[in-house]
Amino acid sequence: MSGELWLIGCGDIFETIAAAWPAIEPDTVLHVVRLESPAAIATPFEERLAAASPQPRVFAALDQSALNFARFDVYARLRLGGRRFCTLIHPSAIVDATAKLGENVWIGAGAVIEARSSIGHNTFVGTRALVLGAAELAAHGWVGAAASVGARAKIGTHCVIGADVRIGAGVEVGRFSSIERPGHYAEPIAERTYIDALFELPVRIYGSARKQAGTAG
Amino acid sequence: MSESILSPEHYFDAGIFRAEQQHIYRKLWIFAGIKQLLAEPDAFLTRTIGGVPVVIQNCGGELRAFENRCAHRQMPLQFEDYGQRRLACRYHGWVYGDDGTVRSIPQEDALYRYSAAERGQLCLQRFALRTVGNFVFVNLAASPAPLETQFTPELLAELEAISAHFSNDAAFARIPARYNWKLNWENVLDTNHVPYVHPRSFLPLLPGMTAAADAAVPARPPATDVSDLSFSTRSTYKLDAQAWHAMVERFGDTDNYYNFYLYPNINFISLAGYVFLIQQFDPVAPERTDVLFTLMVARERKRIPALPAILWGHMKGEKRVLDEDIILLERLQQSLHTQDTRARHGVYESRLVDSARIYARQIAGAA
Amino acid sequence: MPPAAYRSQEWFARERGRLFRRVWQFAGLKTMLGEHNAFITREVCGVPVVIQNFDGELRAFENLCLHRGAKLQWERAGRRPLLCRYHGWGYDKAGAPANIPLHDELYRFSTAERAGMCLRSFALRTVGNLVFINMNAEPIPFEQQFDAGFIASLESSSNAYDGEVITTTWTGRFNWKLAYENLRDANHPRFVHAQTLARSVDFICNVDEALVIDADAEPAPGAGRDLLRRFSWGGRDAPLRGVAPYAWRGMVERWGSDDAYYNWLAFPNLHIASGDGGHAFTIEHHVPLAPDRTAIEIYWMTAKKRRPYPYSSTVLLALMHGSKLVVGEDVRVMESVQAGLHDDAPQGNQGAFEASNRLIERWYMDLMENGGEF
Repeated sequence: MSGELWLIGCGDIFETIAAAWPAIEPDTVLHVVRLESPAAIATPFEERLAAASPQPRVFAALDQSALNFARFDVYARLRLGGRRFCTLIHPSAIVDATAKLGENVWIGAGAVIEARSSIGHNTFVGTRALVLGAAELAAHGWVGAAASVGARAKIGTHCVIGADVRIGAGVEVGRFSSIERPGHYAEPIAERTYIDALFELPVRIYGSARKQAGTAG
Repeated sequence: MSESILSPEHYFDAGIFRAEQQHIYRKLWIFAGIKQLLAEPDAFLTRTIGGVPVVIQNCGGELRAFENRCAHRQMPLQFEDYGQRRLACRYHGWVYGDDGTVRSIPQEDALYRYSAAERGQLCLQRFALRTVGNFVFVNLAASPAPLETQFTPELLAELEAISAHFSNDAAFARIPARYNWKLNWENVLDTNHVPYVHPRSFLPLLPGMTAAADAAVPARPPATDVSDLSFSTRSTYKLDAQAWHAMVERFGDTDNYYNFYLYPNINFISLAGYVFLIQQFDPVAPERTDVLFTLMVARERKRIPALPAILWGHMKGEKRVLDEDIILLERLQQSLHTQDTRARHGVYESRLVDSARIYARQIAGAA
Repeated sequence: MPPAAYRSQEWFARERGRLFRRVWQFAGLKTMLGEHNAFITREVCGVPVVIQNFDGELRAFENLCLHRGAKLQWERAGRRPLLCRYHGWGYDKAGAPANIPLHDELYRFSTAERAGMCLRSFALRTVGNLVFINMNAEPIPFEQQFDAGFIASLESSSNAYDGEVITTTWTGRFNWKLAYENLRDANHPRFVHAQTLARSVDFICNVDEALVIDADAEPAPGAGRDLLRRFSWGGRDAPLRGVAPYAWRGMVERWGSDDAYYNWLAFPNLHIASGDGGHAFTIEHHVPLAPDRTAIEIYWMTAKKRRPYPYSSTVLLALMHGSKLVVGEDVRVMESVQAGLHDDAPQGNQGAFEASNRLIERWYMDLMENGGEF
């Protein structure tokens, strides 16, 4: 693809994309809009894209801050502003032709996305991560470096699958969950469950069942 | 100086632990959970209180507390901390009615053949339950003292008012720690530890907090009654403004750090009326305590999509502060075994001394 | 010795009171306590102890704050004022809480109360670079436990230690007494360490005729006190079949000039050796944890470096790997002895070469059963 791309955000993936350019898309000119921190999204950044040529493509790159809500915020605002998004794949990643990738998706170096898997909008897959056959990752997610999502597993929206976490085949992970303690997970994980080195036992959020919260994008 | 009333054995002796379970945890009103998570039919929560497994179930709109053990083989009826499921046993399918009697036993006539008299006695033990706003308390005693003898009416009114602001969603964490529950209760009463243990995490947020206020208290007469052990304080809190604050019904309108001490094992705090944290020091064994965190924000004025991220973010922050206490209290617990001397309390620790005195009276069975 | 001496919890507690709380025990190295506020911590007889440098003076205290009983120092070794992390109480070299922050506002102890506050302290004695402590309020004279020649040898050799030290702790499932017995048995290396230590050292196993007589004789009343000194000895032990000419050996101030295996055995639970003729030293300290569990604390240092060389830490690591091999061989044997013990186990049969162990055993059993003589 040729033309121009505006990369906006901050953090590790943002810097990875900026540094790897132009290997990611050799014919595309990259413009970089670097935010100071995820907190900087509270102030308007849209005018920093004003000079963009008609209908330029954009890419929002922020790490997994606040269950990916920081990235979601930027993505949703740009989308409401009518911007067109793209999907970026590191040249060393292997993506099966039958895999479905949404917009504003990043596939990191050495990652493998197997056949019939699907990755929702605005989900980032890290370096050397594996998404195995027919796995489904919903929107606004994060799969850390060297993590794996087993065949036919289903990951809900806004989930964080941390580095070195292995989600077993067929396992379902409910939305808004964060699994950051490395290891293998063979049992289903309820929505709003937090498994983190900071806590010995999983933390849960209980209360009013929410309908599709935070998936407006 | 007053030498501690409690000896090191009070923090690790199995006999004393049993006496506490009997004379404190199975006698007083004990916090069990929050009401807004039990609003739906058949919503439930489970706890172990005084060594007894307890289930609190929404029975047709009314909250009831039962012993969480099937009358048949003593299997727990409900497993999860919070959930929604009818009161029935997973083992042999016994189903219970709203009054705790056995409503149905699959294949009863073919397999069990209880006499009518026997069948009539099959029933879950029920416990007294009181709600104060969104706080749910239970009492395991056969004839419980009124809740008002354990907490003053003023304190109950405060709890009711502040808990009306709890959000519908709450994060819940069970944090195992290797020390006696009393060390944590004493630790929260002792505000003088904050500058030393939490110099970077917590102290910067509390410009007004000073233990000198506690030291000024000696004018206060020594506590004589269990209701003297529970109280509330407030001090200035350095609030970091967040966008979501505009979207909730805050409690109060001042940047206060609200602090409630509910004997025997609750420290309930609120950060400026926006965030609420109930910390409970749940005795598991003489040298093991589960710290239970129930964390909420003020109730939403309009839907906040990122609420799970807000709750999880605060939960992590509070755990980091607690970890600074845990690392210390676990070492304190270890060193108790080699100690034949007692703590030396300064005047600012009069609240600890009061607690210890009434506690000692209670476990002697005279309370 | 009866199996209970190696297995019983009650025996272990009695032994702690009658033996370990009364003798001088190795506690650490002075080179690790060189600077003001440097400290080491350890647990001695179940008591947490801190040894701290106050402007050059070493003091040993119970490591518990007088306020709430929190530990004062946490790390195994470090450098930090003697200060409680809980409420900031600071202690001086007398063990008194010299600084209680906000004392007048918050504590208001009377002058008399404050004067009465003092950390429990323990007697401390340094011999060259070695630090010993005694848990007893009225410790026995150091010279009653070790004879003057042995003390002088420890002092001279330990003064040769370099300040760069590698240490580790292993835990073995055996009673600590198996270790002192094993070390006083010069006949075991040729079997247990056939592929390691015994390849470079010709261990000499002799029968000490005088000791045999003493060990089997009925002791004279009052002789027990003097016996204690005979349980510890040290110095040149066995000839080496040469010392490999590693470059680092040329860069240290060798202690002595003999190509000898040096060995110091300090009763009850300390063993120091130099297996390369005074170029490097190892300390093995067998700390009783439970009747059937012993911590094996290992230290390695070379003799003092003439000047720093870049790979000195690699040398220490290689020496430690050597210990892992040799000590591991001992541990396997001792663990198998321990595992085989049961309440009705047959008593061992000692040979004449084991007279020193028999001498200790007689004294020790008298101590344990009759209170003994100290």
